[in-house]
Amino acid sequence: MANKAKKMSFWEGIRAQFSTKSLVLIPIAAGINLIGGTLCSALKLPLFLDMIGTIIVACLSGPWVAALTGLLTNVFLALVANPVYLPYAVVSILCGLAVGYMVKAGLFRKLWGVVLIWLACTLVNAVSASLITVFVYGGATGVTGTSLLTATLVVALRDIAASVFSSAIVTNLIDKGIAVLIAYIIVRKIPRRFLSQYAADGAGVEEDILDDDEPGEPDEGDKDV
Amino acid sequence: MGAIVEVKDFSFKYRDARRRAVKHVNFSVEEGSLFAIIGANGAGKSTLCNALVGLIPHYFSGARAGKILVDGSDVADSTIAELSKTIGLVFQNPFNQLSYTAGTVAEELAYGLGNHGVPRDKMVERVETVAKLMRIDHILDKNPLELSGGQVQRVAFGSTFIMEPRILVLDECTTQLDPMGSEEIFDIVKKLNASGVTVIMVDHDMERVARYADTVMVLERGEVASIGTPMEVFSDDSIEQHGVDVPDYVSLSRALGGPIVITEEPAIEMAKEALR
Amino acid sequence: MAVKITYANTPVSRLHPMTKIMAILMLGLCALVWPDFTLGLVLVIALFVVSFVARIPSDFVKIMFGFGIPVTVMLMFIQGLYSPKNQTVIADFGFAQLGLEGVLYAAKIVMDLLVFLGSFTIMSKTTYTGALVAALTSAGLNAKAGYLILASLNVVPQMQRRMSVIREAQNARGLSESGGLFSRLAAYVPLLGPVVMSSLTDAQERGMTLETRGFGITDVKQTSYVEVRWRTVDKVCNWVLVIMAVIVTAISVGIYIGVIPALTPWAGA
Repeated sequence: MANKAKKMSFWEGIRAQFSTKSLVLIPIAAGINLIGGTLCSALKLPLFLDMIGTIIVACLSGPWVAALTGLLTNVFLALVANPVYLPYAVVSILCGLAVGYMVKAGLFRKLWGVVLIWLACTLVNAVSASLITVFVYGGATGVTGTSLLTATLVVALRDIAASVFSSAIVTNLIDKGIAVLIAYIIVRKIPRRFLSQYAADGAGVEEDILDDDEPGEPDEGDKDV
Repeated sequence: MGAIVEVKDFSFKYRDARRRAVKHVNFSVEEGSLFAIIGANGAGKSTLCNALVGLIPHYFSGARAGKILVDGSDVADSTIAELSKTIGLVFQNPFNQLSYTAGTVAEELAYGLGNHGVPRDKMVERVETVAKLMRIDHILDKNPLELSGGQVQRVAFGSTFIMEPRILVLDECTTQLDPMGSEEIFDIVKKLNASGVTVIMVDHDMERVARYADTVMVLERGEVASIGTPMEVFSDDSIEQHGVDVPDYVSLSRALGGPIVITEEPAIEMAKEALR
Repeated sequence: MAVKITYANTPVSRLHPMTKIMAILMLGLCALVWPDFTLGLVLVIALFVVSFVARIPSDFVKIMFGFGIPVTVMLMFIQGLYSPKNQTVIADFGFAQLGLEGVLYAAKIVMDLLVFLGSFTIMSKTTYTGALVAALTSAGLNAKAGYLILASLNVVPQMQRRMSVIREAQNARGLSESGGLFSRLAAYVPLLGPVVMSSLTDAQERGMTLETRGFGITDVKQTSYVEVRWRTVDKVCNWVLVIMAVIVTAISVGIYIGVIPALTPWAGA
């Protein structure tokens, strides 16, 4: 199975990620993103923490499922809360892809890898979100706290794009750091039995060595499915 | 009437699991009968149910051996969607059997038909028939997520039965319900069974199993420990060593020292006899 | 409790979902291509009228002003004072000068955004999501994409309810949600963790349910119980929208290349 997975072409690889098992995870992961955000405001934390679900699903089902989770989170927000969130779907998609491919490369298993994911996530988020804020909204949406920081920086730096970007970097560095850490803690707690059902099409799980408790029983007849 | 389900030397081990969930299981189910599977937690009952409807090997990955024939063809060669027209599954948690795509009970019932491309007029007809059968025709416009567990389970039952399967696999489908909800579901099961639907059910209610099952199979650690008519299985003195309970009437008749009885009426007769 | 949204029966809610999507695209396009903010302003006013017809004025006003006022203030500040395009000074605040070009640019962005926001809001507040997805599916949207939209709308409120149950339970067991920043942050994982775990466990069984209901079928055109009607009024609306978009685009192109004189002195700047 592992060998076969490596031989799959790029498109086949993407198709394989979208099994029913993975698809049902997407609304749930989008839900985790959203309640993660809600919980932040309930606990009066000055954070967003709205991509924990994306990171978890990246570990279970791979980059494209994570990207779709990001897209869906924003579609939900647009339909239920405020359409302003829709253009930022691009940010969520790019972050999902970035995290997904880094997890697939095995970075979520090592501490320096997790740090790398954190930094990559921050950078991707800050760059893409800034571009959207500048090009779609002309500098600020007015609905997030970041807008105020941006305004202050515009006064100091006298450059709109640079101000949007620097305020995005500062907020993201803290927010994504905590989000990656929490996702890491949660993924560690997911039972192995559960993870293994996703291992065929997901990433980030090592192949387990199978040992039968009854060595006397013949295994030859078994077909791997 | 012949065997509609045949399980031949079937074994399965979930991916990464340490031991096999089921080992060398052999049995067959007669068309139109009520076949009960009993056993302790972790005996492999659910695994077997999942295998019967094709979720193994098409949904759960692992290693398997042996064969399962449903209506003469191997489930491994079919698809879950195709099999659902012959064999349907209802399991324990009602809320996990909703599609989460429907705003109303009627839409929920029709979801499977929609995926199979059934035209709308026929859909409406089938929804009405099934809703009446499941006694949910008064809540067709309600949001399924706002119903009680018993109601949702009847919706789940209806969503499965709307595919008109000839076999129903019921994996503890009344366990999470209150006694009344449980009775309502089982009334429907009896009605369907009487109309010719083959029923394979996992149940913890031993009085019910003893009374209604044609055949009982006891599973223990993935293997068939005993199989036969309820009388054959429950009159075995060592049956409790396989991790299953016996109907209270069995304990009663053992205590009274008479012949073993497994259902209510002969037990009452026996108790009357003893009191005389 | 899940929010049971009921839709008032109005001429707007009776429109085919695809007509409303067409309206978002065409009205948005008109506002975008028009050289200044004037057409956007006219469309926004028209959308306010539509919101009254659709009997959603309070929701609509809340979203439009909730977004419109802060974004206008921010953009007037950022673009009006600091836009590199600024040449004509219309006010001097000492620390910065308010430029006409920046103000006009800000007004154009705000109006374009409000047209999109307003038409999208009217669509989402007057359309049953089941009907929207059924319409999109029959127009060729992948059934799995339809599932994802509907399932999120149903799953998320359920997870929110579960979260509040867990919060009550954890509070009863003495988990503190107050105190310093770090103690509040420490409460985060015990609250989120159980919801995540139980939801993931449910995911497996929900996948089983979908599979047995024919979710994986690809060679069949899916049908829906939800009925969406395409009526004459939809046909008319679609034609009107397309013709309007073509005319507006033609005039705008004319203004840009100078064939048609700018209608307002600042347009095309």
